[in-house]
Amino acid sequence: MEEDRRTFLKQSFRYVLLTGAASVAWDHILAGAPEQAPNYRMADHWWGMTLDIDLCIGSGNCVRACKDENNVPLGEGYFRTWVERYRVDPDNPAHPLVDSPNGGYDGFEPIDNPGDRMKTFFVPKMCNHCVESPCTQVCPVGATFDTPDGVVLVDQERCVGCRYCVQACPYGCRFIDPRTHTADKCTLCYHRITKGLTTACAEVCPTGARQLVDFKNPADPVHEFLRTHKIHVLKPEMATGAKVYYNGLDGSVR
Amino acid sequence: MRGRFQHATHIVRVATVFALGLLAFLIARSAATPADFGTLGFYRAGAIDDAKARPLAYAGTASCVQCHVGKYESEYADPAAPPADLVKDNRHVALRCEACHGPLAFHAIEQTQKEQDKKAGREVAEGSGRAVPLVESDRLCLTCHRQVPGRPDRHPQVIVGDHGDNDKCQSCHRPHRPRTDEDEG
Repeated sequence: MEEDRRTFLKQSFRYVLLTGAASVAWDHILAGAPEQAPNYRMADHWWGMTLDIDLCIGSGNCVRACKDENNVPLGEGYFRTWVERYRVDPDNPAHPLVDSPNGGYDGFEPIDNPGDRMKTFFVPKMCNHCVESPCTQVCPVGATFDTPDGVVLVDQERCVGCRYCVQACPYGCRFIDPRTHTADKCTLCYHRITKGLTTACAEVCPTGARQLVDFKNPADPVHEFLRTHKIHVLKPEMATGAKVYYNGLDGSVR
Repeated sequence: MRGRFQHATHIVRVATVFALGLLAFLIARSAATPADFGTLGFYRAGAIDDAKARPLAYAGTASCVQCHVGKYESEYADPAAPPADLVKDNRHVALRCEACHGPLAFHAIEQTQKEQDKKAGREVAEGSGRAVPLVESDRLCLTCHRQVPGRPDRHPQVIVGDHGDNDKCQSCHRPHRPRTDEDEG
């Protein structure tokens, strides 16, 4: 009886958390033979992310998990994702106070003199995996590109470290890895999403503020989410075709 | 009589030099360009496979529950308490396991390998010897539950030093079922 209950729970959790195909793939990954997993077809996916400002509590879990998962150098300046805290004076919304101590890696401290009037909220930031990425257009050696499934990647073998892409990104999402002297950025955990897992940041987000979404999957809750929420992207005036959608994004956010 | 092409040899020489130069360039370029460059776009298609090949750090809750469902709360073995139900009893159910327990793909892969070895009657490998780290309490609780400006009001938060007589969080709250008897009313 006990065994039955456990098997049932196991199965139901798998189906809740993984889609059918992904759960088959996961068996192969655990068995140590991911190459035998059902083939991932790039044409079937179009990846993006939704970030819910109203849910973000600034725990910094995403920042730490991203560095763990992707072997990102520790320290200020090297982030594939980071969290900013905005404090906005309602009388002066054009000049928000922004702090992001170590990118939110160590969490956020209380503010000594917060000021009652300030509107305060957290904004997680990351690569927007733009459809018309300025960063991929400026690369002189073809080392950064959009994949057919909508992810912007860097080819570490070809990158010559010229930094054009770092300057071209309007969101400041790229950095030069001090160990390899090549450009590095969020891969949307490409090694995870192609195996049916979610990204490391979404996996550990305590409130579900971050959700990996596949726009080509008709069953993805993102379609309902985009229809029923007031959605915005960062810097729409740059016409980058950003695929990271924010819910509850304040106009003061840069 | 001087022909129109009297000086053609000059042109032929220059053209030959250019042709050889172009040939050398084309050969050098084809040697320097990876075979799969340009098959999908102006990039090396193999770079996509490179990005896929990274090892996992986080296994995902789906793999945790393969083994741990129903017994994840064994450390609170209390005969009076009802059996732990991952959904009903767990106020932290929205959290995936590794949000608090840390990246544990190495553990999931190692344990699966061991079980397969056992089943197949092979010698069970030693493994890496990496221990599953203990969850750091208090500090971990406070990363989410310390009162910090910017956190939504509905999110439970405490002012450090002003809550629970400065006891350890776990002296009142159990991480998987954080509601205290007092909360339950």
